[in-house]
Amino acid sequence: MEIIDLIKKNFGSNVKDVKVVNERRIYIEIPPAYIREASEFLFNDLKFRFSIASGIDEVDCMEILYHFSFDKEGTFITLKVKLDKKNPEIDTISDIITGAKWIEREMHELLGIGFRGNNDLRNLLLSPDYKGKKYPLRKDV
Amino acid sequence: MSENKKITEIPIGPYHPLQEEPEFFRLKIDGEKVVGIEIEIGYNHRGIEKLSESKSFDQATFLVERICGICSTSHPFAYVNAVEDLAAIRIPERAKYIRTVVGEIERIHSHLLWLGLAGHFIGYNTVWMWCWKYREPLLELCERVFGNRNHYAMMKIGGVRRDISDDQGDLIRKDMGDLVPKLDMLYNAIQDDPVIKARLRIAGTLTKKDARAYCVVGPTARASGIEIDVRKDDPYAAYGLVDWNVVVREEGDVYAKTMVRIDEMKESVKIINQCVDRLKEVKGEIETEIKEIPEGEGIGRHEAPRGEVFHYVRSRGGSVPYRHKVRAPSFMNVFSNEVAVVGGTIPDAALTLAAVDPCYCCTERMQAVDTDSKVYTSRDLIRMCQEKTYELHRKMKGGK
Repeated sequence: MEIIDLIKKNFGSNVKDVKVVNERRIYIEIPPAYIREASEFLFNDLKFRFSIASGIDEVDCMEILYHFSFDKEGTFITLKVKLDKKNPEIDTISDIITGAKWIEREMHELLGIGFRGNNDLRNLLLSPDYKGKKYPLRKDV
Repeated sequence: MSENKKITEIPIGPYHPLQEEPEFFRLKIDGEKVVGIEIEIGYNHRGIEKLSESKSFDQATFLVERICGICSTSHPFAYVNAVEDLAAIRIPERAKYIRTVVGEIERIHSHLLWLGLAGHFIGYNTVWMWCWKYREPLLELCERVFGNRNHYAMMKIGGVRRDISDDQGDLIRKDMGDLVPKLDMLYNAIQDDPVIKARLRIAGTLTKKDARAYCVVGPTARASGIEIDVRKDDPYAAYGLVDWNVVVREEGDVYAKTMVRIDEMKESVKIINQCVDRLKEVKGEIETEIKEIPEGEGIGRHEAPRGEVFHYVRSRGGSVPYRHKVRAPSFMNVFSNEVAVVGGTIPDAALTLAAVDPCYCCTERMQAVDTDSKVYTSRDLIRMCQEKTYELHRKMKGGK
């Protein structure tokens, strides 16, 4: 559990909530504005692997879970951010982690989440012609 | 033509020339050399995640089994792991061994399928015929033991749906015994043949640095020197209860990817044999009864033949998942082709694009590609890829 203490210390007051399900499953909620610094620390400094991100349409907000894996110890850390439902937008991490490019495109087309700084948000899975405002993975669709 | 008049664009797809699956690559060529690539996916997207929100927790197991036709047990395996993580369910020890046997037999037949196709592609049709010949008894074994050649429906939240009897265990052990000399033969044939080796070495190197940046998984990562394997790193089922090794190579080229897969098949045989032996001793239930899934969230992973499969499930306490996120390994691996094909030639590119063993769990749709220039068909690409092997053969052995 040393790794989680190290993360908590580095994140400091940016840790809004920590849920330790067991030593291999840890969820940390952070403010959206802190996502770039947090990802940089996990990916570049601690050498975590970016596994994927899950976007979730909650009733009162839009959530993104960034899943990072520390394969050496089998620890799976999930960073949770909550975005405004009306205008869900967050800074991109795709310039820090190349492997996040596709999933940002996917969350953009399926959930309507904007990624500031990512200038390639073309449709990934949906047709390139689809420019509708209905986002398939939202609960109101 | 782009503003740089020397650059030619060559479309490959929307059907993959080797695996005949829908995806589209736009290669940018300068003379003979590939200088860039654009990748388009989405032709096979079926909206599984959305669909899962309308299925019960139990039905979703069958739904995700339909994501992939080759490694069909990978998704239900990761899904049941996720739900069991969510609800803190412990499964009986016997079920752990059975799950592991299913996962590993599937790994062997999936790797043999890929190896056969790779052999065909480089002009070694004997390798292709051999691999698929040795794969067939495994599919028959699946049918006899799990009830189907594919889509076995063995996984269930809390355990497995069917037991493996002692007689079936003997059958599995016999087939594994028959398979080992064949795997050794394939290993030696590929390792000792200078032409195959040279042909696979010159194609598609993914450096360790790029492998990390693109977050690749499975044999694609392990062939580039990244030692990751969910079975070892975050043991589930019986992977922490048996003795086996993670196979890693440093080179990052197609040869390394090939040898990693062959060595992995041998490790799988080791795992299966140990599990079958343990099944003769560990008797009892094969499932834990589950009444309801509580509110919460869970993450499940499984090391599929192509790498880590990831499932995230959130429950609000009802009978259906509130959110079910699925990430197949090819989602990470296919993207890395953006760097792996650059610097090679067109015949190499076709081989490299197939070397990650791509699998398209995406959306079903058709799209026409308009082009005035020459269209390379799958036959053209296979012919070019094979001709390069023959040329190497002539150079190295003085005539084909």
